[in-house]
Amino acid sequence: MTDKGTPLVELRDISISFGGIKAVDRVSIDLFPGEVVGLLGHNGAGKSTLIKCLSGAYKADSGEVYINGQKAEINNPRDARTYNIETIYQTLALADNLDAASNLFLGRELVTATGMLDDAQMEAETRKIMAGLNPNFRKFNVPVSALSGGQRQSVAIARAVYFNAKILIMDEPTAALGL
Amino acid sequence: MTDTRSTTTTTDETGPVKRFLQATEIDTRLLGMIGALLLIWIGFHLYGAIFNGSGAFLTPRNLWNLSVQTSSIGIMATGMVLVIITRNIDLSVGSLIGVTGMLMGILQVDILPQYLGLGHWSIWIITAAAGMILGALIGALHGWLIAFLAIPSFIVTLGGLMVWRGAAFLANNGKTISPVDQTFALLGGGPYGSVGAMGSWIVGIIACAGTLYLMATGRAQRQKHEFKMRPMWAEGALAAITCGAIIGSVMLVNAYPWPIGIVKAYVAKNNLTAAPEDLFISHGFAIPVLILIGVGIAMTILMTRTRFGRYVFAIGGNPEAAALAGINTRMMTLKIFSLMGMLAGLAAVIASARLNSATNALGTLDELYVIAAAVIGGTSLAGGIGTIYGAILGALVMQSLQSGMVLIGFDASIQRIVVGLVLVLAVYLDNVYRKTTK
Repeated sequence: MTDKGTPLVELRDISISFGGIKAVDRVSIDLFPGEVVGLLGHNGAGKSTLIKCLSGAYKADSGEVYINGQKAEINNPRDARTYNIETIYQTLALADNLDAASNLFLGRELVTATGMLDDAQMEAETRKIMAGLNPNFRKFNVPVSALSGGQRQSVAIARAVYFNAKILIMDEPTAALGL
Repeated sequence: MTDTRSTTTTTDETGPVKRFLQATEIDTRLLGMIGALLLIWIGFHLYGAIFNGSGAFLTPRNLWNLSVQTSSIGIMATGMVLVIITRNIDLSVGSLIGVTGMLMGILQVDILPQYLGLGHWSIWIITAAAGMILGALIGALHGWLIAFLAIPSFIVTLGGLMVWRGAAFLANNGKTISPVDQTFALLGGGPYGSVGAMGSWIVGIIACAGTLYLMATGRAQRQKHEFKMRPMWAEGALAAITCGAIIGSVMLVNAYPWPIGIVKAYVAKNNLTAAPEDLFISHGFAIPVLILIGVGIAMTILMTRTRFGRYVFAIGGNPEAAALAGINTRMMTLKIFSLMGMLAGLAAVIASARLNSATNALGTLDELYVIAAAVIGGTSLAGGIGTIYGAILGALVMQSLQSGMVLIGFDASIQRIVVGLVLVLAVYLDNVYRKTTK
């Protein structure tokens, strides 16, 4: 291996267990900028669990995470997002009763000067990003439950792309893909 | 992928009614509920006119009373919408009315007059605030048990239903406290607890101006982002309908005069020279109704324009996705139940003020009417769907059925049967509606 400088992400000795089952046992990985890394393993090997420790969905029992060489505290998804870690989940993690813009900005809503939701601005931004990702997408004012599998997938991807992910985690990205 | 052709071709063939609905973007569900409400009202009126000789339902007096009777349940129903949207239930609100009502009774009758003097101006404010704070605290406790100890809301609030009803009895050993503070009693309505003809016109004009302002800013927003806009004629029609309804309701409440006995007392008290028989003093909007409208507007803003409301819907739609989006779902649950408790406290203010007394049985069975109102108003028990205006309309439907049957002389057992059947029918119709519009 040639020296590539500081890794973008370093996972060191990550362990997590549920009850008596050790799902992830002292795993260490280095990820460098520009790399695409695949995580392979049997069913139940702990791939998703490891990923969720990085995305903040689970908190590791032990081990450390370094981002750009700095120690990072990731206790919840909000923390992970502050490090520009975005995740596209196997289940897409969309609130079915909300429209595309509400899902895209969920947890990071744009607000007006008075602190009210700026739905018009959010819809405009969503239209912009979707125009690049999926030009045929027109269902901006219906709940995402009314969308096809592929359209739902594009909403989930738009969410990761819009917020300039430096680290993009995809958990089974093709599972819900409409081909 | 999306088929845009079908939508463009169908608009050419639709009739004027459908075109009107499309252009104005009126929620057809709302329209259906208002239609059902009018049917119920006209039905009761005609029944009275045909079988009892005179229709008593569509009179200013009855409709005014109906509005007052709806306020307490309506206020709680707006909170129950949030609880049900997030896939929970709150069975304890009736008992919360009991216990907060008793606290407020003791506070304003036994405690505060000792320190402030009987009839002090601040008694009603301190009392109402204390009732709402107690409700919020109890609600927060329920929410904490549900969110952090993972006890199902059905169980926690079923326990609450019994515990707080018992506490309401113990608070004053089962004795009723009466009468309440004079100013406090105004919050329950009645001739003095209404804002009069001039006050009602002011409320109506402010409401109309507010509606027009909101429509104008909404249109400006759409224009700025170059979204599709309503045609101007549709905007005009919507404004006319809304303002017409507001002005109509002002005229309605102003058409209900004070009873002659009250007018006589008023004349004697103020040393007026006019004969009481010649005076026409309007009730105008009752204060509890204005409180309900205020709560309805505030809750609608909360649900549609704030992050809090957006998160409530997100949790209801997909709790896991909400958590993955960084929403603190446990804290949200605690806050929602606390808000529900506070609204129950406010409802207790109105209910006890209206009775002019605090009794430990106050609000018994209210939880069922509140849940029924929210559900009739289109709140889905599966979570994620519901509106504030729907819940208030649902409360109005429930109350219309009950007082309508009282007016035409049906006894309590028949009333219960009808209300029960209507609840089930309403949910069935809602299911059918959702399936056909999808």
